Amino acid sequence: MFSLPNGKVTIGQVLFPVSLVAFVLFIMLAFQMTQIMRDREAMHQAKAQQDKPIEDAQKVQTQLSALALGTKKLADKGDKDAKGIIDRMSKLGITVNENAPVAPAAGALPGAAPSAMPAMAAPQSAPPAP
Amino acid sequence: MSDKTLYWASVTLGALALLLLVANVCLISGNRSMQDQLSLRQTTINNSVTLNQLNQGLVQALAQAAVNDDDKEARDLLASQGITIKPKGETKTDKK
Repeated sequence: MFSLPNGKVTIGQVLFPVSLVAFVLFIMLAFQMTQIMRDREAMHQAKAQQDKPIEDAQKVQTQLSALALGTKKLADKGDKDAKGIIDRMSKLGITVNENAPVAPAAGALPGAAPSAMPAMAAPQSAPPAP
Repeated sequence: MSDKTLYWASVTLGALALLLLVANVCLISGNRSMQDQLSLRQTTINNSVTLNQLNQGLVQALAQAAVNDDDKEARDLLASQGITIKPKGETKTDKK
């Protein structure tokens, strides 16, 4: 233990360590902020890089949805080729649901869930054999 | 250093540290939300690989039906998506 000269703590003796602590805290938080800003910038860049693939993915989803629904409608009307395609898809575990709502575009809503195939349920990934 | 200087230095640094803390909390929260969004978008992109295969298979099946059996409705369906089929003999599909 140490003893102070007159047994009392002066305001100056308290303020110096308090200032030091405040300074260290300030430096620490400033450093943390620069790191956070750097992370943010990197994420913005990653997001920008995803824009084109997301757009392509949405186009594919829209086209597949339209083709699948069209084929289903043709099959329902009695088109034998369409029926064959739907049958082959069913065998692969892919079902076309006409009443399924169209999922919103993933890029359109920030934070939106990735849109799955709106009108289809495809547990297997294999495409129908041409 | 005088007591007054130390006092004001402490107050200023403390206030700035507090402001930085609040800003950092907000930024970290924003970053986490953006990270979630990026993950979701990446999942969509990854899923699209499978959907693309499925789409190609479906287009090929419809094109084959349109060409081999002269299925006009299949041809129209493909045309509605900007996919035109060359006349019989040239079975390649042409995606626009």
